[in-house]
Amino acid sequence: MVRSSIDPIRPGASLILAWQIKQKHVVIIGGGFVAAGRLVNVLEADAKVTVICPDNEELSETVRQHLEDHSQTTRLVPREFQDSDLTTPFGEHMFTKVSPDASSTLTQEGYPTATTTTTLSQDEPLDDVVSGPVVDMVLSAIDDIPLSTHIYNLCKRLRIPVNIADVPPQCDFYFCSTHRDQSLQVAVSTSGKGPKLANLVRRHIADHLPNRVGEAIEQVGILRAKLRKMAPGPEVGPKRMGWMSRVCEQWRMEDLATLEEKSMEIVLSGFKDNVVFSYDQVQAKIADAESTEAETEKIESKVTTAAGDLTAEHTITKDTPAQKTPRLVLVGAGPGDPELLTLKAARLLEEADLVVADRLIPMEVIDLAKGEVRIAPKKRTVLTVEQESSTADQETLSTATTSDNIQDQLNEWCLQGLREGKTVVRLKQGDPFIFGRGAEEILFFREHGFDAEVVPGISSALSAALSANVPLTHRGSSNQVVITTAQVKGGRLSDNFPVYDAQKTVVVLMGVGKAKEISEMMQTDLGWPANVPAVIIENAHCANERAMDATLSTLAQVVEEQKAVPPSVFVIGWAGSVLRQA
Amino acid sequence: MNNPYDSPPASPRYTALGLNSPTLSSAQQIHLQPPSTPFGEIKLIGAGPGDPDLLTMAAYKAITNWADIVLADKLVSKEILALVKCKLFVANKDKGCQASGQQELFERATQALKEGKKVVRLKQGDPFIFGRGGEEFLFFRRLGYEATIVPGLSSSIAGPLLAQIPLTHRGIASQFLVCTGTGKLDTIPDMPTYVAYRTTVFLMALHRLEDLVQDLIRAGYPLDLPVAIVERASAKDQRCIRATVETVVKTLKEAKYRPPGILIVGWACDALAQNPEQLGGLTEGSSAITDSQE
Repeated sequence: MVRSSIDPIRPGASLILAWQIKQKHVVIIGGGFVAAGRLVNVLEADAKVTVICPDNEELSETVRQHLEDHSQTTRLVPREFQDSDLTTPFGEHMFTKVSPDASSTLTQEGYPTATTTTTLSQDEPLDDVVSGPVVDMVLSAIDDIPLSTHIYNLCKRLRIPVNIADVPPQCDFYFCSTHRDQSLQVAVSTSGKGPKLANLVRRHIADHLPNRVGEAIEQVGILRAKLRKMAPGPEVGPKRMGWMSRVCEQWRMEDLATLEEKSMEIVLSGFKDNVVFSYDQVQAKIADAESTEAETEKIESKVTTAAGDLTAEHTITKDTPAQKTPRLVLVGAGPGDPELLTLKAARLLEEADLVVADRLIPMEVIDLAKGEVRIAPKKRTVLTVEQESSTADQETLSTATTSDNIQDQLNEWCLQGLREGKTVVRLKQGDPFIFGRGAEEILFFREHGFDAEVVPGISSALSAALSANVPLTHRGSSNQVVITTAQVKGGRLSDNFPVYDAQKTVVVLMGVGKAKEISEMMQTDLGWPANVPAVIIENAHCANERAMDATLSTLAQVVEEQKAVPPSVFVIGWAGSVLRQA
Repeated sequence: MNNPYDSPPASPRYTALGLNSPTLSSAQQIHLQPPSTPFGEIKLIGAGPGDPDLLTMAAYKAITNWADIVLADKLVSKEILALVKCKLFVANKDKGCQASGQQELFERATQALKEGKKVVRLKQGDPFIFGRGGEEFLFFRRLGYEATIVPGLSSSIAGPLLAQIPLTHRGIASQFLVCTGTGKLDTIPDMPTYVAYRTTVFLMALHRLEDLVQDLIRAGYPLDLPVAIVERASAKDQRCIRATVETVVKTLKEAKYRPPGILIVGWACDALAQNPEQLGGLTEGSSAITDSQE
């Protein structure tokens, strides 16, 4: 018999599922750091949760906070674990006394391997569970290993899926390293083998996801629901699915993310004839509809003019926005001091209808703007639960405000302004093309049909040194200057540091957290002498500017002793000692 | 916010007298003598690449409103010099006169400072990036004056930008290097090694381009690596010439080079290039600055 070629089975994997734990009862034992991570995971999946932990210092502030915030779906049982906890329905701890018999029966079992001395055969149903389990999942997050093992054995007998943190053999399931962007969830499992690697892989995947994919999924979800409502019959099922897939394939993620009531209506109008309108077609239709509206409005307002005896100016102002030519200028704001703005930057700020600014630009600069100003949102502290245990490779990443999302938001604001015919200034710290992602923005806007002008600014990568009296080049001391980031993607140390050259000055950005590694690498691998001057400049050109002197070998020590913080630059090279006075 | 450039420097001022004291080391002398006569002030200011619109506010205020005398290099653009309202001296640093030109500058500065004047030493680009500002700073320090330094836009940075070339670009360039193309005796002493993730900017390199390209090739720079030449950055007749390491000599010859210009080498040169023609050709005028002179 000829076997058809099928993919071979590769055993040893975990079965990855998306568990619908909504409204089900999860018991978490413990209240510390690990428990906090677990609690977030199950709350995000809408479970009902009982946390068992004595109400003392064991109960972390984070857990307490979450319990307070979700008082409807969480209960705290403020004491040590008892066996009856796994047979008590959610919430009953509050009202019923636990039968001492039930607990004593089970607690008689010896630690640590309760199954060997069990008084109840596994086939014999427990009285408490005849009516079905009242606990759907148990997560133990305590240090007490005998108690953990006891809980594990108990769960086995009650047939409750269980995860004992830090003890892989006592886990029915592991937590994955997950990335979440609204409805999109990406889970990475290494089957408990390499939690840290799972984190790194997850980060890598997250970095490579298309922009705004979460929003796109939300909007597609709404679009699908609308479509189903519009063409509900099972007979149109295949057409529906085919059409939907084509929309998803033909539209870019970013464009899907922009779908709203009006554009969805237009997209859906193509379904009847099985047509998928492109993003541009939809935008054109909206613009048409708007101009017709504007036309009507104009006529109306003229009528009102006549009727209400308004001045002619009213009608004129009403329709100017449509006639204005959009203009986009990427402007470098310099290192912070308003005096270091270029004349051109200052003038453009005054002229702009809309200024979209990076977050760290000082108010003195922003205040020059006469039109609308929008400032980048703050990067939210990302909730990170990093655990080194093999069962706990869970890390929750809030994607709400990462730098990529902020970038998308700023781009969106600019586009909006441009579509309204405004003069938009995108105000960037330093120089737009020096570690400023300006070129990426130019490409983005070009794709959307807008060419950007660029105005250079003084980059603190260069002026920080000047501000601290370090000439980047100086006859006899330095004839080359290299400006480099310390970190490349994923926070790794850049391996592109230059080899030693007595005539070279190296400016290092984003190096504060990597001072030790930089100093070691440059000395050991790249031949830089230990005594070459290294100047640390913190908050260049700001009121709180600080310059600290070190040598390459003492760099890390000085950073630590002086508690240098970002933004700081290191200037390494013999030019460092030319003008600075000890 | 305080404007650090309009207020007198907070650092102690020094007199030439103190330096003559035989018993003290130069570091100790500095804090000794308080000024007894009217005391001049000096600012070392970067004028940027040439377009007056790219002067910093600080530079503009200093030359229009603050200074008693402005001492400028010949390379500073006419448009910027036209803004100067006070006494102006432009150093003659033509070939053969560099040393004497610099000497005359120092003499005039010293004279003005001794008369208690406010002096602006205006330099092309940025004073500390191939501007020899450090040497002048030391000269004035020896005289007893601690100069205020005002950064300017260096053409090594602004030039590429104005030709739409990002010196850094995610995934393409994570660092950049600025160096001169001319060392002592018309050689480049230490050609930086080729690093794929680096953009290199050569100043003062185009008059010996043929030799430099040979040096590049010897140092391992790929033949198809994009290069760009930006001539007269920020001026109305700015021009960008694009080529590769292999073709640049020929391309520049055909385009008829007009100094001054900078040479940019690295993959980032093509990051924003719009179409195939642009990859090996000319862009006339500055695409980035469309309204520089209004």
